[in-house]
Order: sequence, then C-alpha cells, then structure tokens
Amino acid sequence: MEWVKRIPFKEGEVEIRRVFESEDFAPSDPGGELLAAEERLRAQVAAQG
Amino acid sequence: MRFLSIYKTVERATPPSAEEMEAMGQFVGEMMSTGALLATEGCLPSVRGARVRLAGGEVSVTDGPFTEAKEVVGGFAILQADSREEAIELTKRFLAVAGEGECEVRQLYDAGDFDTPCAGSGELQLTAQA
Repeated sequence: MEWVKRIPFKEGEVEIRRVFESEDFAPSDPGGELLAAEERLRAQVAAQG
Repeated sequence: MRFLSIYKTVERATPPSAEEMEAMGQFVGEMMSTGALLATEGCLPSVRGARVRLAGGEVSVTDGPFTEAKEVVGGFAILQADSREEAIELTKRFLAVAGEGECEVRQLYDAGDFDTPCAGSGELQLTAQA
C-alpha cells in the first residue's frame, strides 16, 4: 500500500488485490497435481521468453 | 497489440474447485502456447484488498471487502491480438470457461503509441527492468 501511495498520479484510485498463489489452491488440489501442471506451464512460458 | 481484459464477477468466498481449476488450467495452457495470452492472475477475495484514492492532494484508504459493488474484479489477462475484435473473441472464449461475469477489454500503450521518444524509451526501460 505504501508503494501505491508513491505512484505519481494527480488524481484517481488504485484497487489493490492479492492474487492467488500456489498455496491458495491447496484445498481444491490436495494431491498437488494441478499445482505441478501450473508450475510446468509457468516454466514453459518463462522459457519462451 | 496488447490488451488488458479485466474480469468482473459476483464475489465468492470459496476458492475454485478442482474441476474449475483443471478447465481453466487447460484453457490457459492452450492460450499461452499460441502466444495469445501473455499473463493472467486471479484475485483472492476483496476482503484482503484495499482501495487507495488520491483526490485534492489527499490520500485515503478504504479496506476491502468492496460490498457496495455487485461485481468485483476477479482477475485479469494481458492478451496479444492483431485487433480489438480478436481480443474480444479471445475474451469470449475465456468467459465460456470462467462463467458468469463481464470483461472490460482495453488496449494497452505500447512504445509506438507515445508521442515523444522520451516517454517511449521510458516504457522500454521499465519493461527491461521487470
């Protein structure tokens, strides 16, 4: 929030929202298969540059 | 051209189910492999967020949840498309997987959209630092 207050806007509003992280999906993915698939996808995208 | 697609929907307190995650994961994987989807994230409940407003030189902070809104931001995607129409088509496909709600599709500034070389080079520097 302190970072947002430093944005050099003259007027306006910024909505700050936390985004889902890996651990937030744990209740729906107890075995971790979906998380592993997402991590593979992110690695693949990062490799594509 | 890059587009920001902001998804707004009725807020829910529960995380996505395994079925929802699998369907969205498959869709995101397909979109990223074609290069149409550059980035995407989903938002946690607005109770964990805040709104920071600057008006008349004064900064005010409103903590979530944002109960006054029927729909809140549920996530976003940054799309690579050749036209606004293509971005809309990609967004329609996203909504078919995500469910009820609305997406606001906005074209993003790219380096060539700035009038002055200074502004454009500034954006490139920020991109390089990210």
